[in-house]
Amino acid sequence: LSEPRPGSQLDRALGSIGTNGEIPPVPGPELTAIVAESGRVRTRRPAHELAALTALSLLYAAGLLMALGLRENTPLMPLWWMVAYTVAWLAGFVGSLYLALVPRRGAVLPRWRWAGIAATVACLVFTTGGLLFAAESPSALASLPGNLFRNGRGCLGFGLLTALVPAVLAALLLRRAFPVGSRWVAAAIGAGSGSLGGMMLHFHCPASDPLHLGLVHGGVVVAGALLCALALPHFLRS
Amino acid sequence: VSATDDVELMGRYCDGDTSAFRMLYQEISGPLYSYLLRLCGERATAEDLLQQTFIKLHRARHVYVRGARPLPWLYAIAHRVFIDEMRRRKNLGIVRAPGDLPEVAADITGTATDRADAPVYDPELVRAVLSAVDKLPDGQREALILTKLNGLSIAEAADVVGTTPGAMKLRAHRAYSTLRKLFAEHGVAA
Repeated sequence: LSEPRPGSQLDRALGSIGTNGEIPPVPGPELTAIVAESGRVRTRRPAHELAALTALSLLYAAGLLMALGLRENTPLMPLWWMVAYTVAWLAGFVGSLYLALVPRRGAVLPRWRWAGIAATVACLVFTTGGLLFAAESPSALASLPGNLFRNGRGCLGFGLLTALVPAVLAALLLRRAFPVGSRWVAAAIGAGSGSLGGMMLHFHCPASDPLHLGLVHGGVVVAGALLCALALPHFLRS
Repeated sequence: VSATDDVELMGRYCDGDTSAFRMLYQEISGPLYSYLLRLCGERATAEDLLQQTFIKLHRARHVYVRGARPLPWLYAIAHRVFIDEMRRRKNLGIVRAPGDLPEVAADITGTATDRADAPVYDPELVRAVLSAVDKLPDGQREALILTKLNGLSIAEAADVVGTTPGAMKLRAHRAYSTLRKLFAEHGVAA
């Protein structure tokens, strides 16, 4: 008779160990005390939270746009370009926040890997998209390379101001939600919020040259993702 | 404990039912304690980390999604608690003690007491396996504990640790290969 393979014996040994045989301690006094004085808590309802967050953020962005004013050259811009960009910004905003806020069915843990991928894709799409798909319009302001920084500062500031509200709301909703993957989720929150900032700029800023669109409007998404990835993980971690 | 029981108990616990918390603790503290004990190798530390895990669960229970399985989430919290403790110790210059290897409770026939239907096993072999597991690199050890000992799927284990399923599969495979090599070298007498 041949000897059984060590691997099979190892399998059986590992199987026999399992999780049995260890007697855990009883709950300690601190744990017992905090549980005893706790009441009912309102648990998360991810889809509702996403809907509420989207609605509030859009209202806030619309209010900000009303205060700052619509771009003067809106009627002169190609309709397809205006619509396509609006849809793209909206998809970046809702898609990134969806992956950050809504876990898989039956799970508490977030889809942090997909959220991270969404954040990366949003950063790439909105910077390269801006550089590649700028609209030609006689009245569109051109940002000469020398003016890029000067013109860009205002847009970057307004974009990030728009992104502030959804980012803060999402962070509050997800406080202590993530034992792992919090940096990627934070980046997705930032990229999504930055996309809303980009959408607001799309309706406000009259510039439509590739450098400005790619580096400044797209830059709002990148800056949002980076800032949130740096600032939020500690707040989001369980 | 079945997944349905976990879900129901967790829901009642979030509703403020403290008896549901006690039942939940009773049901899931065993696998969590075993996970933490095999990770850190010290009973006192594992007991402390288990308490911290449940305190963190309590503070984060508002983020629970009703109907969701709490156990993978709890494993992830335990993983985070362990990582934070190891970082704290590293900063303080505390070296991990080789000490308390988990023991398998067995009756007079050598069968684990709560697994009377399981095959009779040589306690020496089990001890050798646990000792070998303890010597694996951290990532591989955790992958093996989660998938082979605690019975999580590769995807669940990856979620707990915060890595991709591919990386988790690789770590578990490497850990298993290392163990097999060790046992092939020394010969297995069981």
